[in-house]
Amino acid sequence: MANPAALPAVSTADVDLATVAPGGVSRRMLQHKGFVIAGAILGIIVLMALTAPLVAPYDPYAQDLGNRLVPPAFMEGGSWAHPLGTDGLGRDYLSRVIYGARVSLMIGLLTALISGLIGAVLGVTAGYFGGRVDALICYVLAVRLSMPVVLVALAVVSVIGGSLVVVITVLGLLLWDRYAVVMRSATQQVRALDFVVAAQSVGASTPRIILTEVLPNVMSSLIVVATFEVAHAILLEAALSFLGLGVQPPLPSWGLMIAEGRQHLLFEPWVIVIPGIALSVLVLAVNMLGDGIRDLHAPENRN
Amino acid sequence: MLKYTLHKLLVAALVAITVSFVAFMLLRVSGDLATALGGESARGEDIARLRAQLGLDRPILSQYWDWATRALVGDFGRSFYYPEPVWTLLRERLPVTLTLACWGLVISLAIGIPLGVLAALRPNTLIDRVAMTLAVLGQALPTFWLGLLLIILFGLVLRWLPMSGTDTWQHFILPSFVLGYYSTPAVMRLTRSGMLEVLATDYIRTAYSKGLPHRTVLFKHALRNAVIPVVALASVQFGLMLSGSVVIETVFAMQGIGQLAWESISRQDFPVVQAVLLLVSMFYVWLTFASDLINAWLDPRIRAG
Amino acid sequence: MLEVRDLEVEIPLAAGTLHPVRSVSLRVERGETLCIVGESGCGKSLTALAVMGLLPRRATRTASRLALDGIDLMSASASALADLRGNRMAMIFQEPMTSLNPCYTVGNQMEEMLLRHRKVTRREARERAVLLLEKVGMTAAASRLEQYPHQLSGGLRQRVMIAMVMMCNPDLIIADEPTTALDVTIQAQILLLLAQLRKEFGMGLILITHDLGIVARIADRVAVMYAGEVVEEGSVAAVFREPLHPYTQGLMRCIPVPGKVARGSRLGSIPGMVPSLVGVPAGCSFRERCEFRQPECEADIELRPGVAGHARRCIL
Repeated sequence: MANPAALPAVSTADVDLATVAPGGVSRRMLQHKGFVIAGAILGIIVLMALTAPLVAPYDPYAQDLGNRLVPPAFMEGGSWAHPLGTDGLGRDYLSRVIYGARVSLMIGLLTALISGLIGAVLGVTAGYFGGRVDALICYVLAVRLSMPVVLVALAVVSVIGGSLVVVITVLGLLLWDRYAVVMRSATQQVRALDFVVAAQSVGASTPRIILTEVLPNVMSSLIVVATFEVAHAILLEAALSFLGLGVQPPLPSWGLMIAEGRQHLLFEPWVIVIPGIALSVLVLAVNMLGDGIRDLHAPENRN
Repeated sequence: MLKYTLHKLLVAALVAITVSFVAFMLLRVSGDLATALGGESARGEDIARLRAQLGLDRPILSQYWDWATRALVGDFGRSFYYPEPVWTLLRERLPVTLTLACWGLVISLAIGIPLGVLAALRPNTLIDRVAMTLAVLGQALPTFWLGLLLIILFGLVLRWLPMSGTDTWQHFILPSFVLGYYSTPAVMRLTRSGMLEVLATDYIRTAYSKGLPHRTVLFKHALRNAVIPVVALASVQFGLMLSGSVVIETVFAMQGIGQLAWESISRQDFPVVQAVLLLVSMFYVWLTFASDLINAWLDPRIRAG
Repeated sequence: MLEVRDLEVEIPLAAGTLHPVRSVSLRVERGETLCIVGESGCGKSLTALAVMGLLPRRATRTASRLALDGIDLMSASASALADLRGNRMAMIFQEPMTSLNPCYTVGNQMEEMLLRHRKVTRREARERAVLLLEKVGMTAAASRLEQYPHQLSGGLRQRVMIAMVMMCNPDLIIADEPTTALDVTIQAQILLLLAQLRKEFGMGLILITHDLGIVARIADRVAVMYAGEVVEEGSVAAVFREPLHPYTQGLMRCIPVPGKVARGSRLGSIPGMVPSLVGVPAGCSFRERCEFRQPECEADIELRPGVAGHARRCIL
């Protein structure tokens, strides 16, 4: 069957077969520097997003056409009234950045949820049952892998119309491939292990075996893939919104903010730089978290 | 080898046909094209007329058959926006995109593989950590943002490179770099892990025991094995670059397939959109096929099946 | 021809320094087969790797003398050592399934050996490869050259390895458990082959094994290793007839010999476990398991030579 060769940063070798004892993990978690730093950054961002109405100094949609393109406080011409300046419509940038975190986090998590569910179901099914079922799912996977995600997402959004919900749905229905590949490989490895064979020989029903024997052991791979896919989804939404076919204005999506700032590239570069930094920090933290989880559960699979 | 090739060919053909069908259905399934084209103010009868005009009221399969058979000979119909046939549009713009993608791939391999090898030779030392840090950073920056930043830096501030367009080869430097930059970390990490794995094998020890110099062991014996997964990765990355060039071409205002796709999508120029989708998808399918073949050539064990 | 004195290997670990090889001394002459016997973990493989200079990066080796035909291997530069490897001394490894590069043909890997060390044409290298493949008993030798390792069985791969190490006609061949990973029927063939080749080409052969049966069959001299040290050494006849070290005696007792061991009596075994090799060793490493243990055994014991080169590291 066509071998799905799409294995960028996370490869099929990223499989953890050890169920780690609880006590040991939390201690090691706190010792892993990358994990701690990433966790702290993410914690701050999530907190910021959750308490946005309390933390943001202004309404992110409130325009102030008399105060357009005010530089951030640390540049000349700026003031602490608007710590990160204002955009082309006079909206406070700090507030928009804070609210923008909500958009990115929501997209990342919800998309990961949907695509993770689809991908995990397909992957585990293919890996466990093998044979024709596996061949069929691999075929579906090959077809999906042959479609360019960005173009498909753009095309679909153009017909339906762009919005937060549409972006989440479309990306969720498209980004399941990596989950499927990794889950399939992980399940194949676990299925061959003795305790699964033992359960089968005792006559345990298939759903029961999958739930109690297979799933716990492939869970950590799933989590690792999920973190990287959250980052992937966040970046994709930013790109779609940048192109005008994602989240629609006046919603404060960081990608959209970069697009809006494009016309001010020359003289007001902060309009582009600031949301980009926010995106990079968030994606970096998520990736580092994923690296940390993988190191803790299957360090020999470090890529 | 022949049996393997035929098998892969069959699979690729099957996938290609399915993909073309999906590409065709995608737009029709996501919504009523006639309504979308008609716009908000269109009345029912206008929409019905539009539908008949576009042939949207015919059975789906016959629509697909017409489109597919014509596409095979290169007839993608006419654009709603441009006077030229779609095929001409594609042909004019494909070179730009292909050039970008090729250079992007070359850059990602030229930076990624040597860095990966170096990092594997000196694991856990400074150079390894630097390489891994670059990798981690590289995957976190949004490409379009990086492109804009580089335009500011090299185009406005330093004035070394042009900011947009495709007139000279210098115009391709920044966009190719940005395109390749996103893939470099993946290539580097895969090369590094592959090399680490290979360097620990028995046959490398055998190679040293034969008295072969470091250089030979590294390049002839180790790299050859370690690079096999990178080939598969490279084909995937090339495909990603083809689709990722949508963003890059928009940022750098280059007249390639990506920008054509984006413009057409924005203008709801559906014949063009479908054609581009099909074209890029076909590239993916045959890229995978080619990479399977190269893989088999590199690793004799795969040929045996 | 090969002279090893006081060879030591150290590997730094998080828990301390590991001493897998401590004070090993050996001699091998041309035309002689020396067997190094010992249980898993006694340091015999590392000894071989240390002699060849193929230790893992973190390991260090020290020796008061390590010389091949008078050439000092300890002070030789990396490139000088590389010139010797494969050329004057070569090694056969335990795992034939993974010891050959899967991406290149058997012929390529064999010719590469000769081309590295001699100024010959590709065709001459090829001819020698065919010759040697025939010598090791492979049929259709010329077509074998075009095959890839994964197309051959374990036994055939090991023959290829043997042929490969013979390409440059080395003075010393070290075979690290060459038959352990093979079927029993193939084992005998490979051993016989090694013995024949040694007789025909006259090189020195060091055969590492944990199987006393192999020792009895093809070795001239034997060195028994335990916990990183050579505890007994001598001609096979002498050591087998009268083992002097309690460990060797224990090993001999483990082999049931029909006629010597009465029916229904217990099979021999050596109680206890191998001591930890981390940290600075002191005294006899076998004393925890020895039935003849005495207070003098706490101090370091030298290898005491006895009759006709039969030495033992014991106070008895």
